[in-house]
Amino acid sequence: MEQPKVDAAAGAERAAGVGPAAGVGPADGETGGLFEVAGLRAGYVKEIDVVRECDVRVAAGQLVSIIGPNGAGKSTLVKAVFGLVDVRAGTVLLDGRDVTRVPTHHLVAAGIGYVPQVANVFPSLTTEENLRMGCYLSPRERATRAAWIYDLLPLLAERRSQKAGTMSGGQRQVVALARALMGDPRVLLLDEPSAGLDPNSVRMVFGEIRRIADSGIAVLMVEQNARRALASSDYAYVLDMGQNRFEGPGPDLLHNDDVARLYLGGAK
Amino acid sequence: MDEALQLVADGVVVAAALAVAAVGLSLIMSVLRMINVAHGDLLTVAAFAALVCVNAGLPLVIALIVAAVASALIALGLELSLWRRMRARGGSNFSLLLLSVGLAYVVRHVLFLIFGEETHQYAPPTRELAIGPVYMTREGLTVVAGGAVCMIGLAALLKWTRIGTAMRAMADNMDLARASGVDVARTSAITWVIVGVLTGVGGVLLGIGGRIFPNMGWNIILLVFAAVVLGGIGTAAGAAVGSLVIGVGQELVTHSALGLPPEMKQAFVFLFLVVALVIRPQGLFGARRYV
Amino acid sequence: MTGYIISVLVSAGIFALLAQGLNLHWGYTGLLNFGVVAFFAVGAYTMAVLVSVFDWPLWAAMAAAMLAAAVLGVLVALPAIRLRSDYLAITTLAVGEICRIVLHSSPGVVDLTGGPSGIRGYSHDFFGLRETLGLQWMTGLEFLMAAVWIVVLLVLLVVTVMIRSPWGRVLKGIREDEDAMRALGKNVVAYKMQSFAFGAALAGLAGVFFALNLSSITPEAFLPMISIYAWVIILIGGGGSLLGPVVGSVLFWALFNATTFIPSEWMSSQDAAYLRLILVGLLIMVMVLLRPQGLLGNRKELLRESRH
Ligand SMILES: Nc1ncnc2c1ncn2[C@@H]1O[C@H](COP(=O)(O)OP(=O)(O)OP(=O)(O)O)[C@@H](O)[C@H]1O
Ligand SMILES: [Mg+2]
Repeated sequence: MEQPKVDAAAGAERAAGVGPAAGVGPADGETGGLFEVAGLRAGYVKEIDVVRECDVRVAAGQLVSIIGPNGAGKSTLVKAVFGLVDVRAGTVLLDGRDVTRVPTHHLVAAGIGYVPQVANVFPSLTTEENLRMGCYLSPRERATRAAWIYDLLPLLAERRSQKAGTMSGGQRQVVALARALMGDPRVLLLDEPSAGLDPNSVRMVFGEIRRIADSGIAVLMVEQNARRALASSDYAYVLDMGQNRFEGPGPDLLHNDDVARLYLGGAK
Repeated sequence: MDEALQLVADGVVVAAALAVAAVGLSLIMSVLRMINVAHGDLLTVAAFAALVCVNAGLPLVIALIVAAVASALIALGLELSLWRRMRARGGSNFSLLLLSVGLAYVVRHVLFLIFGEETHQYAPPTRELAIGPVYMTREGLTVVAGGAVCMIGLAALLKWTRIGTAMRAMADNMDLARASGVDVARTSAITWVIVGVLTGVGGVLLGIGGRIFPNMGWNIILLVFAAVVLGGIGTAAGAAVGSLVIGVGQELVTHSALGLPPEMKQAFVFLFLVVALVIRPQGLFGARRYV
Repeated sequence: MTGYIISVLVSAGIFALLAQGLNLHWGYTGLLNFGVVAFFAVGAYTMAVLVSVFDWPLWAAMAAAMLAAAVLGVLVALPAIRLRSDYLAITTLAVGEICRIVLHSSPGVVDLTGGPSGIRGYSHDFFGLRETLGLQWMTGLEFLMAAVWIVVLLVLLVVTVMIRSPWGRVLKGIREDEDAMRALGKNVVAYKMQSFAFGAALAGLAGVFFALNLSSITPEAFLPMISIYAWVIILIGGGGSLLGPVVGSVLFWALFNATTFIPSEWMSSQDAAYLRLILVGLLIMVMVLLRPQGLLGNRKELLRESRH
């Protein structure tokens, strides 16, 4: 337990609505990097790095996507950043503070939310209880935030006391997103939020994610729905074999021939 | 018929103490994914802690509280010194189980060393009271009442409190609980404290309903496990139902109409346990996948 | 001192056989059997009943004992093989207790086993062998010791040959990567069953010698503690190593019986027995914490999580 704790000031600053400190990121500091990952190496089994040399940067109000083939290490990258997978090298900065290897619950307290790709709800808990777990660290705000969520996603209001384990895949996805939003995060990590959703729900979820980003939250999203993700992202990274392959503003990558050929299933 | 009713009544008393014992084992299995074979012997420790108090002239209620506190401290101490360390190095479910087998041996034989082989009682049993067609002792009624209070209290804690929800969340999905801000290490420790209190009360209830001797917990650990498996892991209601089925079922097979020697009753429970585990490892009434 | 050595070697030989059986269950197939005592008891009782009630010759009774244990092994493994490791441990623990209770008080069975009073008079044939072989100069215990160790070495030879055979290589393959072996078209369940039955037969053989070492056997001789001893031996010696069970058993019994040297002024023999069992518990804990692969074990990760 010798890991550094997140400075309590992070929380205070957030409560006061102070934006990310300027100039704390690497020299170019262009986007003011609220959340930055540099040179990350991570993996599950000893001596095998699944993620090798990864750099990602997200600013407040930005929607940043990570795309890449199956097994590229996208989920691992996000989990590692969030303290759920062994980090072997590299740094994770939140507002310029080093939060590498900080225990997950401290990261949550510092304002990072996460929706995993699989097992993203508590199956034996009801919707209501899942949402309650979403703001586990700020129980006082529970009622107001739940009201807001139920308003935003009426689907959930109807299923308030249904166990999440008995819901359809798409409904679970919505519960998962709602759970993460309940924590009122500043940085939101989403692992394939559109997986398993019907076209209308995909549109709804992407719209919602865009809106969340526009409200000032830094959103880092892993997506298989690559074209749509690139189209609505401010910036994107292509990850392959655990390494950055391409990066650039979303629409630029969408129209990049190499990216299209290698990762988007052929030219448009 | 009267014999059957009397056996049911006896079974309910057994079940009440069993349920409190079972729910502790069950919580640890669900929240921490570990089978604690030493659970039975920790029940025994609590029963003896209360015995020491009673022998020192303290009233049984105080003895119960002392036992519960002592048991909670022991549980917490073991979590901090043993289980946590083992989990941190990635010890498997099985290595945790093996470690608890070792602990069970140490604890039980330390008790033998201190208290010898004799059986003890907190107080001489009182006269039986007729309740409708059946007879129950005051001790039996105390055990049933105590068991009910514990089970309802725990169910409420799991359902309504923040820590209870966090425990259920951890049981469901450890990583997601972490991702929601649950301090898993702290919640594990709190779970052990709660289980420790239950173990303390359960041990004393077993002592009130029966006799106190160093093998008392070990003798029932498989019964307790059978109750957990039957009822489904991780819920108070499951442990209660499982214990009722085991407790009452085990008394009923001794009905004179069946002509079985009473020693055989445990064999039936164990057989039932094996069959239940193999057919429905998630518990007969539980829905959660665990295996 | 000689008495100590002989008693250690007799127990060590018997438990080396038992642990070798467990080694086949756990070390080679990863099946966590906490009820080897069931096979041990079935072996002991089958031999004792066949010899003393049905007047079978010893060698035939021995073969039948191994067969009976193997059959029980198949019966247990058939459904249990699918269980998660710790559940399998509890299931087999329960099977061991069922066996003991049935031998103790099941109607029908007790007519043969004598229930709590046990069974006796099955060992004349065995100790009579001394005269046949012209070994009258040996005490009964020395003769038993020699016989057990000859069997231990024979079993070691057989197991070594089997493990090195193509059959054994598949078994090892299953231990390393079950899915890969399945993908190669091997019937993993069949291999596991065979190894389980073979291990159970060895445990049954150990039970035969255990019975011969006692003038009578009662169900109380087959407490779960026996399975635990076998586990400690495996933990000391190391799972999956052929010599592990033998070395582990000798070390275990040397340590276990050493408590008889505690002067009686210090401690009553009863207390010394408790102390011994405390040591057994501590030994398990220390081995799991410090050297889960055992002294001779070759597979560090046997106790590691295969993540679910
Ligand atoms: N729990 C785990 N233990 C060991 N290896 C793992 C684990 N999870 C993933 N891996 C391995 O890590 C690599 C990267 O997996 P990851 O889940 O990060 O891929 P991904 O990019 O998210 O793929 P997808 O698009 O399919 O979700 C894969 O080779 C996978 O086999
Ligand atoms: Mg993924």
